[in-house]
Amino acid sequence: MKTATIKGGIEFKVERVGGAIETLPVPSKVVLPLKQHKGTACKAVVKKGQEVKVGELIGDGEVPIHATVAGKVTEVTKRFPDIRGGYIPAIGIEVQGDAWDEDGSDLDPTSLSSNQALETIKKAGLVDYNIDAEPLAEKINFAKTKGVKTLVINGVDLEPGVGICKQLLVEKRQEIVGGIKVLKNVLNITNAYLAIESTSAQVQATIEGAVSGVAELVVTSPKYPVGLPKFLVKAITGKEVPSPHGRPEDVGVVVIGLETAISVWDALKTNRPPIDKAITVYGAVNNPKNLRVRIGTPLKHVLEYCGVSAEIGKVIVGGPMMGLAQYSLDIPVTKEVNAIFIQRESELTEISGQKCINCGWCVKVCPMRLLPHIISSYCEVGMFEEAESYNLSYCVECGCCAYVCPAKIPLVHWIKYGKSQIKREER
Amino acid sequence: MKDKGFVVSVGPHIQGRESIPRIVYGVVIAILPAIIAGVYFFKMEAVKVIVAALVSAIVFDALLQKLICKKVDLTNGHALLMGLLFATIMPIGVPWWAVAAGVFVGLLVGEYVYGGFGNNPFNPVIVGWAALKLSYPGYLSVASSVLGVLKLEGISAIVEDYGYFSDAYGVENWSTLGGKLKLLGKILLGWKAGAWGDHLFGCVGCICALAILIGAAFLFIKRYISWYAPVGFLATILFFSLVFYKGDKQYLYPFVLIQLFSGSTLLAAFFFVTDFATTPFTGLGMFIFGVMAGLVTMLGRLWGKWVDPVWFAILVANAFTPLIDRFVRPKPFGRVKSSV
Repeated sequence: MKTATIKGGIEFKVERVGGAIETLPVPSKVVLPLKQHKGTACKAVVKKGQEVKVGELIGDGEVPIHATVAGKVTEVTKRFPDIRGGYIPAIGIEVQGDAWDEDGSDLDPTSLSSNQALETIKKAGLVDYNIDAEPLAEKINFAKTKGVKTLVINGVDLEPGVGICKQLLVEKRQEIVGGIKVLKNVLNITNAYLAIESTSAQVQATIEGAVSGVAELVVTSPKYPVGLPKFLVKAITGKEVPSPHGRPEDVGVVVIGLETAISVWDALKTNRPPIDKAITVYGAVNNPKNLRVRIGTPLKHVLEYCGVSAEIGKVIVGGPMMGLAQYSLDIPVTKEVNAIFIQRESELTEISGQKCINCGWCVKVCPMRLLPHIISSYCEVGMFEEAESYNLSYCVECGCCAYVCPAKIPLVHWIKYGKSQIKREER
Repeated sequence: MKDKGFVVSVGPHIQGRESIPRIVYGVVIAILPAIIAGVYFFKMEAVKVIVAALVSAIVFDALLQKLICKKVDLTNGHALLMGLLFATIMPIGVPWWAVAAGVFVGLLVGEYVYGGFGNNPFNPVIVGWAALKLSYPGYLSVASSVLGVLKLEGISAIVEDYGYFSDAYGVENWSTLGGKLKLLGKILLGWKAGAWGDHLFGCVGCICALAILIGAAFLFIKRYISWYAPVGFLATILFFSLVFYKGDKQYLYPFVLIQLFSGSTLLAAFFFVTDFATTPFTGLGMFIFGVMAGLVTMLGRLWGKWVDPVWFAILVANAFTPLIDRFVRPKPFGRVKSSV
């Protein structure tokens, strides 16, 4: 076991949501966006009125989409709101059943050849679960071409309060070990780490016992944003991923999420495509919970289950630091969703007219070692070239600077604005 | 449950609890021990200066806010802090009108001409002090404080001729560790009047080192200040007073104590060298700033004409802040030397 930490960042004194992962009852209607990954949208292969089974292919493309419930297709629309504020094609299904017929095969996934396993992963439409949702098969192929030597399983919940990985490490130990074995096999490497956030010594010992011989356990300090791949790689191997456009694969490491490893095991063992997703629902809800939700369940259904009061101010998909605020509760839970964070109107962030007082707190917390206050001041007045000379594009938008700013300057807002303007000028 | 009308914005969606008014009030609380010690040691003389500084700071702050067409807002505690900090660095005996004039110049020239709180390149408190020092040097002279006597007559005069440490503190000998600690402890509790003057003299907030250290500890616990600048500043002063000491070996210890704990050294180290707006923002930059201020201070104390050039040193270092910030930058994460 080794320990790891990062420079900068924030130590939140927030308890992670605990409790076993409950299964959320399936709603009466689900909506399945045809793009739940980074890349182009899939094509619908079903028509309105058609009956579908659980796990049936309904969208074909680089990352296929499968029906997560059994029922009748009620709509195939081109424009459905997505979590980024745009529109994507989607398929609505009226639910008639939710049973998944297990392919009770006695197959040992670890005995599959690398190519066979990769083929299944691609067909199952697996993504690396997080807000970016990179296609997993593509990611593995890229890692192979880069000759990656090290696999890091990211069992650190990135956002403060989210308790999915922590809970999965307790509930799904066998599947995790299996998933790591398969991924090592597919990638053809021997060196693997399982990164978890420090918890009680007893839990750590149990996990270490479970993964011994498969992966080395790395315990990270409870600091945000150590769960971002870049910083995880630095904390574990000491190598810095080149900025601004480098990837962990460039320094010979591939980082794959913990839940992804579990779903790889499920997909290979039982041919089960990802039909559900574990999420944490917390913030201003009556019962903060870890839930297993059918993909396609509208946020509204999830929130009704957890109970929310009348005056919600913000519904955030992802988490309080890097999450995306939503304007509609019709938006479904997708492969990109890790958590839902609810805020009351009284808890919303404030913006003051105060100018920067040069305190340097943002410089102290910036994990990218940038000068956020200077970059954001340049962006604010439209001097994007100057902002770029202070490495605007290096910013990962983790939000640490805006969190600590005593003047309540929306630094991340200005930085995102600057980035988008530079992109526009380049076009 | 409503299902529309939600607020949409970019992250982060939560903010830390600290805000500028909280920090300002935090520093106000931290300076209170020094103020209370000043009142305890100087009685009415200190009260006069403090009241004059406070009242004039509040009045002039409101006036200047009105003048630059801002909404008059005194709730952020800024005027309070300006008044208290200004009072701490005034020697006793400064007339009330001089205090008021200093506060006014400090606020106007040191701060409001640059657009108000946070935009000022020089510490407004020290700008006010500088204006008084130039206009009424007599009132601001600290020649009859311990540091002044040390400067004018030397350390051996203090120890031997005036018998300062034996008379005021009852410590005859500091060759042993016990004696050293005893002297240190007594000096931390406060400076005392020497035989060269009939009553105690000093600046309102600088007379009791312990009170300043208590305030500094509070600031450290709240993380409002970091250690870089104070350490750079105090280490430079210590280094110079050890290396360039020219007197008798046995008086080195009291000499160092006077350099570190008398005059405005400690107050500057924890309340002025750590000021947000006028000092660099990187750790290394803060350290360099501290060293620079310490350097100018000790050059003045050892070889210059000024008795206690701490404030002057900070003004000089303030002028270098933009330069330090320009050259001392952290290396961004993952920067690679371009191969092109």
